[in-house]
Amino acid sequence: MLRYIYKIKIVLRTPVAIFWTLVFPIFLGMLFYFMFGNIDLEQQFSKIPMGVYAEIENENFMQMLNEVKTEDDEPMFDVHIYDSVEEADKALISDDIDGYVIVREKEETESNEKDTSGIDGVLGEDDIMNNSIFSNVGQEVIGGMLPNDMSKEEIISWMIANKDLITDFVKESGNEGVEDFDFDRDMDLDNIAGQVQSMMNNTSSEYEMVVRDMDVGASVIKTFLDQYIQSNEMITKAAADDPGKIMKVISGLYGEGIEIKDIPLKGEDKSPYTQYFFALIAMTCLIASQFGLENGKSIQVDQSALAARRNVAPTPKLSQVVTDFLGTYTIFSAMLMIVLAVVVFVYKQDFGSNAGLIVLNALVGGFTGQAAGTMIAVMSSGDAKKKDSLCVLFFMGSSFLSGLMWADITYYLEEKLPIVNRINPATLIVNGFRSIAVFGNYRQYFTNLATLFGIGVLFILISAAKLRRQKYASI
Amino acid sequence: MQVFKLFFKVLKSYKGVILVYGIVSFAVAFLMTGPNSGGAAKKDSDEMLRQTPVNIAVIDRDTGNMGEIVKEFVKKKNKLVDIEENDEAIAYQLYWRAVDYVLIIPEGFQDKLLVGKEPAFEGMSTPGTYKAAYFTSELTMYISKIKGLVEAGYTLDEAVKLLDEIGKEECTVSLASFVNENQHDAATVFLSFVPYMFITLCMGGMGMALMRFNEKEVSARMECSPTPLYERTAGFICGTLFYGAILFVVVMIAACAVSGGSLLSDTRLPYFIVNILAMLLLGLSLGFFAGIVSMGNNMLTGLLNIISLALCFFGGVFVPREFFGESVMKVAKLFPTYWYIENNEMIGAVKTVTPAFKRSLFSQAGIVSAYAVAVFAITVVIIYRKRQVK
Repeated sequence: MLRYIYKIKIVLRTPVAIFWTLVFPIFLGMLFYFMFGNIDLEQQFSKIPMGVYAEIENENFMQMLNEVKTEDDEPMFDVHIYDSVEEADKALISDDIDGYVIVREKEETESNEKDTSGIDGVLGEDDIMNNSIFSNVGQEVIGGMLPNDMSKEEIISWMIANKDLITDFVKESGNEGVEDFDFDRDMDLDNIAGQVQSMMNNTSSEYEMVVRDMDVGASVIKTFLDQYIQSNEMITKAAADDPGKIMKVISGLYGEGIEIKDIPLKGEDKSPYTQYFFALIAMTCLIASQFGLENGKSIQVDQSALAARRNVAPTPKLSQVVTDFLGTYTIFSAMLMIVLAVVVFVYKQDFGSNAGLIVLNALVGGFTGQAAGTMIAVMSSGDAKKKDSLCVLFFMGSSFLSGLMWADITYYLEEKLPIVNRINPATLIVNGFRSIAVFGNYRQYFTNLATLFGIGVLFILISAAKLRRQKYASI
Repeated sequence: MQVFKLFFKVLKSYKGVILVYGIVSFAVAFLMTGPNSGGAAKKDSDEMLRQTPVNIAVIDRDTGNMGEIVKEFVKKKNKLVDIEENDEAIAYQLYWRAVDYVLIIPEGFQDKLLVGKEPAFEGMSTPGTYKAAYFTSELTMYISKIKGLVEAGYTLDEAVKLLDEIGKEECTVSLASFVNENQHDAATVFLSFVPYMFITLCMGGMGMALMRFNEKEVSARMECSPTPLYERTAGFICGTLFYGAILFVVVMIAACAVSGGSLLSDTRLPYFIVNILAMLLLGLSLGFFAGIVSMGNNMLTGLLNIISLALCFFGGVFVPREFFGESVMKVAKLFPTYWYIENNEMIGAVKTVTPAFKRSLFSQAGIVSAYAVAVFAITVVIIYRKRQVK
């Protein structure tokens, strides 16, 4: 017992031990906290800056870009108009925009020449023009169906000729106030004909997107453009097939939409950045290898004068090894708990609600770390500097492989070399935390814990076997 | 010459430590280069502009054709993965990211769709990962289109056929004329880890050697030796520069190796060298600083880890800067490593060297060098104060 207390005193008076176990992890945690602590708030959706350089006028497309909104009813794009590609390139170079779209006239080919067979049935109406979605789509449809060279007067004549169909179309739209729709009273033919004529030019537009890289913003712009092109194409084709179908296609397309219900996993943590804090605690656990290393060195006669004195003392070697191990493990565990508490309560990282299992995982991690240090001290030959280097290599290497510097490395290793994930102590500690916090998978947790503990016991057995046989004929 | 030789003798005695730092830092760089780059070979611009496919598993509980339709849709841009239908297997696959998203088509989905109701899919993914966001968004739009067409009187098969045809219509995407297709090649990615390699190896190598020279007994013996101060200083400076040159050569050889040799004939090479030399200067300054202020191996190791990790995390060496929030980005700009990475990315992406590019390159490399000079100046002041105390 006395030796146990002395060992605790020795460790407490070693500033290096306190630095590595307390100061360093808390400092690193602070780095992570500043970097990722408020990232969820800061990464809330903001308008995607994009540019447009229109070689031809396309009011319809511009209107759609300005009016498209996110689920939270926020504008999706911050649209900048440029007069030349050079100007847009400049904005792209200076990161003012995520990409820009060039709107140009579509080269007519045999396959995309307009099919005017369905002209008689294609409609445009007041309500369509007043509702952004219906306005764009409605205009696009008409533009797709009517020949480009129609004058305003011809369009008006066409609308008058299709008066009944337009009236039905408006009423079928189901929009508010359309029940009393009267073609002669409500249709501003001149205005609508003007818009349709302007839009007609737009249907023959093609869109080229220019980016610097396919990042998140550029991908959103592309997804939007593809959907815009495909939706218009679909409505045009449906109209060509049977004009009476347009209204239903539109309402189906822009109706309530299909939902995907998320089935939550059993865990609680939702932040991808908590992975870094898991790896930080894993590294702290493995820093216990420094304690194990010192213990190992202080029992080997050829390593220090103190070890030589201890070796000739009447106390059995086993007793010395056990008290050293328990003394350092006690202090280390206390410091580990402080680090864990700082990470959970000060840096506000959610490790899940099962505190007992979280602490158990950390403690077993510390045990394995200390056992590894002891084994390095006992098994490696050479001077103290070499043993220290091997110890740093062990805990830094193991921590790196568990995602301390690059969170996705474990998934990369899982593809290329999965055995590393099954035996690397730091990965086992990280996965123990993830099993509880993210997946709520206790089976996986206990598998990791058992493997980790097994590795620790193996290290202890190897060290004991080597120490037992060690004899010193001369030092 | 004597001091110069001694410098390397001391370094040799620390070869184990230097080797460990070398192995760790180079292993980090090599391991992270592979998956984060497009490989050594020139990357096709089409490939570069394609969205990254994700692994999708589909569990079909519906009795209709919807499962097949959805699976065909998945295969167009993503990888369809088989999965066993039980919670444990699903959790295991998601745990190791063998699957990025599990889509469940519930029973009666197709019937609801055909009668104009709003059916819903179910989905499972790893919390906090958004890899499948584009897929889910495109899928819901695809099914909405099917619904629209079915409501308009098309049969399910006709709707799918029409959408297959329409799905080929996409906007064309091209890289801006000023962007180099090689912007994320292996050499560029590998060189982004140079700050970590230089800082650890300079602080852990020359820092250790200088610390030995500054130990009380050694420095006192040197002070009373017949070797004049200028000769000792020259010996240190030459030793430091030679050590720096060795690091530079090793890094360049490694960069050439990961690029498959293409870096040697790359027009960007001189600009990469300018940027690397600025960082080397900073690494040597930090090594000088650590060697002077440290009072023992443990203190130096502590300084090394704190300085290298802080500079590398905040500079965007380990975590891409696109993940930084606005406020973190403001702080990051105070770190010299930020400017190194900024330069490295700019050089990687350059296609035509313009005067504006050169101005940016040299001003940003200048910032890194200015930090190096500042650290050096602070260290000189510390030496001066120490001497005054003596």
